[in-house]
Amino acid sequence: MIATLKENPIVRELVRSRIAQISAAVTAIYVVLALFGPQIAPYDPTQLQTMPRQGPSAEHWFGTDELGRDIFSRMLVSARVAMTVGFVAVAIGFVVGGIMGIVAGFYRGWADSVIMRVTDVLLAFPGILLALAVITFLGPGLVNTMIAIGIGGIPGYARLVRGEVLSLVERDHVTAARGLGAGSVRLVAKHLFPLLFSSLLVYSTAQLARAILAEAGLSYLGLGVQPPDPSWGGMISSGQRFFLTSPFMAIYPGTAIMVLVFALNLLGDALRDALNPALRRSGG
Amino acid sequence: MLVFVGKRILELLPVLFGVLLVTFAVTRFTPGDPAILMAGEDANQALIEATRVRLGLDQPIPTQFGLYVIRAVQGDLGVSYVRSVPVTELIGRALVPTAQLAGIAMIITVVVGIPLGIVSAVRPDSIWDFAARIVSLIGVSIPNFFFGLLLILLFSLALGWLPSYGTGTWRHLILPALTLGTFSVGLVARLTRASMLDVLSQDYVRTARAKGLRGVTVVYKHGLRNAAIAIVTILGLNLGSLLSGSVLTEVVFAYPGLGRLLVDAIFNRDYAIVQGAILVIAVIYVLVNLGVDLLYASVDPRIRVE
Amino acid sequence: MRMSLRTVAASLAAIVLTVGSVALAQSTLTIARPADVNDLNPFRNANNATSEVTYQIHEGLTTFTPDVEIQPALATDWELLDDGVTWRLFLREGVEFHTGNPFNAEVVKWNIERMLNPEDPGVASGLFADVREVTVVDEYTVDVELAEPSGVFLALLGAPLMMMADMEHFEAVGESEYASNPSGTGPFAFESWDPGARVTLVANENYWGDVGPEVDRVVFEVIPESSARVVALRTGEVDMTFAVPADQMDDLVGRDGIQAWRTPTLRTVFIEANTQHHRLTRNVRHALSHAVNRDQISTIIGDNGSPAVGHGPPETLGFYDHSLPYDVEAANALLDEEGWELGNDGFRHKDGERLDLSILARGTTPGEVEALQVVQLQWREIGVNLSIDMVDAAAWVSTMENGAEAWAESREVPDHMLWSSAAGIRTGEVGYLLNRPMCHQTTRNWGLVDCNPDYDEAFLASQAPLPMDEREAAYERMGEILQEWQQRIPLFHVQNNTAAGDHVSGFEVNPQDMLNLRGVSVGQ
Repeated sequence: MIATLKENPIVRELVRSRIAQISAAVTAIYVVLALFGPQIAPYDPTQLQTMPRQGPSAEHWFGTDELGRDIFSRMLVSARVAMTVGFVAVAIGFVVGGIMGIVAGFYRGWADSVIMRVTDVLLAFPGILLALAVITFLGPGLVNTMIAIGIGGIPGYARLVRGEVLSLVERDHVTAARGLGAGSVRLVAKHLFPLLFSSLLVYSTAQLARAILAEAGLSYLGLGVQPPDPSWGGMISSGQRFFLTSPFMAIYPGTAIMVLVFALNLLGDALRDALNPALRRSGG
Repeated sequence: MLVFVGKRILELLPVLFGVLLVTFAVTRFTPGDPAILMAGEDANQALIEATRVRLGLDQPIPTQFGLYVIRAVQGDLGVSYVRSVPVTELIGRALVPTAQLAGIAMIITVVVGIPLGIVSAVRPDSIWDFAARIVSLIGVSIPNFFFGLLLILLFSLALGWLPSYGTGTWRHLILPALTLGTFSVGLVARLTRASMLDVLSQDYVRTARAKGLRGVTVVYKHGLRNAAIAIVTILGLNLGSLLSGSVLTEVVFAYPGLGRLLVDAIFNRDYAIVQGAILVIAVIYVLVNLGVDLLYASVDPRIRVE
Repeated sequence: MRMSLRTVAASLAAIVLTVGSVALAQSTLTIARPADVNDLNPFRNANNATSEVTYQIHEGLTTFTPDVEIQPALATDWELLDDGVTWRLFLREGVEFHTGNPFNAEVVKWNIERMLNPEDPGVASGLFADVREVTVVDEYTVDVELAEPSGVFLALLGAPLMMMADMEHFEAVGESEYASNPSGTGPFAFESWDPGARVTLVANENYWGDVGPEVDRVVFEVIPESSARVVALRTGEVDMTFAVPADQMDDLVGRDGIQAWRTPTLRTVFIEANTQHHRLTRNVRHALSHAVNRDQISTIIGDNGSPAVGHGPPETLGFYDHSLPYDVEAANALLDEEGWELGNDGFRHKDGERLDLSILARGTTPGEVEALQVVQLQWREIGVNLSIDMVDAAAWVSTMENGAEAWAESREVPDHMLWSSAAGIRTGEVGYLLNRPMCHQTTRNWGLVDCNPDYDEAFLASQAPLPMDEREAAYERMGEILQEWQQRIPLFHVQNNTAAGDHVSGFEVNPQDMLNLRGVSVGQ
């Protein structure tokens, strides 16, 4: 298994790239922190510990927030929140958008028209705006934030998958499979997904970055994860009120988001380059 | 060309219909009775009933939607629940500062983002490419509200050069426009790089290079002109990130634009404003992209045939 | 062609005027505040952010010194007639409104009747006893006959509630127009209002008082974000800022070119409850109150205020500690008794409903948000899930007003549960903050408290012109009833932190929240 992986040109390309190594390592650290953060956290992230707005110390590595809660512990728990929202939101876009794209691309006709008009409508609300509209009637909160951001990801997946399906359907082996009378579902599963995999992987990495930024933005506005539960965006928001005297309250969580999103975008670029050597070579 | 324009506008209608449907749902299916909210502070039962009838809330839902569409088309977006002012008036007032902000951010994007992308594409894998890519990657990775705070920390708190809130003079626009522009700069630089690389790898450019034309000439004469079409599209799409980014930017800088109006309205449960602001932003975005499409088509006749 | 000529002439005139006014070096006092006015109609709005502005434009019949001594204002003298319920007010002569309309007895009668009209009660009606009749005796004398004796009538006339609006202007332009174009007799006249951004006033050149406007213009700039207010002061963007949070006050005090005032006020931040809400029964309200730990709040908010247990600080007339002691066990027992059982999620449930509560907050008082967040955590300890909903002042008021209205009209119980309020005493006694009698249904109370004849009797006695010990005894009886109600949970008394550049002189902070800009000047 390992041997075959090593022989894979894509994997070889990735392993060779220093940038890919670094960004993958950073992402991995965040994933570990998201998985084990709450266990690592030295204090309860919602409990008052000591005096408010203390600078870093041996007891509180990142200091305390406006209510005297341990910022380091809150940062760790926020990592899990950000990752969870990110992955679930991407999964919603992936599954719903993916099915829509396959149906549209495979069956064409009126189904295609309807699905494409729906994505047009969703795309008419740029960026965080669709999430704001969804939050307005679902109300804020962790689960609703995932749904709101997830819906925003649907049209992108639907179009990507539809486009890929359209071009793949024209290719010989799919046409051949059809000729042999393979069932639609089997056809999709067996032939399309492996071919779609690489473009979906690149796209999803970028989508994860987008979803994490959106969660931070919504929580910053006070419409995402609700206090007292911690989130990086919420920590920046309360840090802003004490920015003059305790800027670190906002700087830690802001840096955490930036580094994670940077690493994800970098990883996405490295994946794209590795999976699409043609584009890379074209530059050389 | 006329046929193409007509066809494009017809295609727009279902999208606008969908946008209206979504915004209608925002107010109609949220908790609370709009009639009570809209009748205002001193309403009695009779006034609430009268408001219900006046707003058509006693009608079945499809009729209500019809009324909403008819009114919206006529420019009537209802009255703010909280302030008893027409929503169009509030939006009109907020639109000007947002347009100024987005305009300056767009200029920053064009002046910084496109050259950054070109520099990257012309010498791929060079140190310049690397630096430009890092800069643009930071641009798309830093949450703009956090970047805004850092700018405030530096330019308002530490140096005292620029105001950190509100409107009034051109100096008030600098920090918010930089904040808003940063993401777009990164985005446009990345997309410009990609489309330039694409064009430069085309056969005719290679031929031109092979024929001994100097690099700079090739880039400008062939590469940029052909990439221009893609870049115009990118800028049209980029308006979306500016409109969406303005929500957070305006909140950070307490800037009285459309984004802050929208966020405040969500908190105040002033659904008439929420509905109106989302509708207006979506329509602006859709129309600008229509404009970009038409421009695109007038530049490149092949599009029309398709 | 003629039109365009006229346009050109008009623009030229405008340019000349602009240049001219620049040449005259106008002085402007710019003040940063956390919130905007709701609107400028003194009959409808009197929250602090609004009356700070409307009270510069309008004036009352009386006023106070900072030590709550009643002083003449638009009334120069007064006497209580022999019937014990009629006040005769002698008015200042020769005063004009900003529009040039005269101020006289007719205007006073109209203002009082408009404010206390039972059909459409104004914002001060909750404080005043019913007025039986207002009679114009002559042009500058007016008699006000009350339905019951009152010991606080003159004081109430001085609070920034019962202000004299320009009757003729009001009737000419109508109520909704007046709200954005008011006219009064005050030291500053209205110039413009840019909602959410600023209100601009100009000096009233014809002001009647000896001490009047000393600056040409006052701009009330809205800067919701507290550090932005302080930065604006430090960069010279504004001359003065209100509501400086304690942490930033430490940074400002002792800075060159900055003067700062820390003033304990008679303003109290409360958590208030909609007593008719099905989740907020008597036992639940008592449990919530028992679960508030004021020492912890005090540690967190620091210099923003001091712990509060009643309406106003202990030295206020009528003070009664109506808080409940911090006692988590008692709180849990009350919730158990009420049938709210602790679930596996750490929150209490009953009949498939979780004990979710929400509180509407404006968050404009420094320390308020932190205090509420601490309460949120303290209530978690007893299994209550509190969410804090931040809204702006206008939405906050309209929610409460609509709710009280619906309940008064049809006993329809509004959805909102809790809200935080910051209310100041402006007459030196706690009666200012208490609900008027409710049994004969003249007023609408936001807490939707049911009528209680004992309360009404005690209230009337406390406000009557009786010997002080009898009034204090009445206040005590009321305090006991308030303790049983637990409609208001006092959190802290606000410390007013204000800062200004050294070039501002003549400014004095008033603990009653009565901003007085007469005589305030800006030097170079």
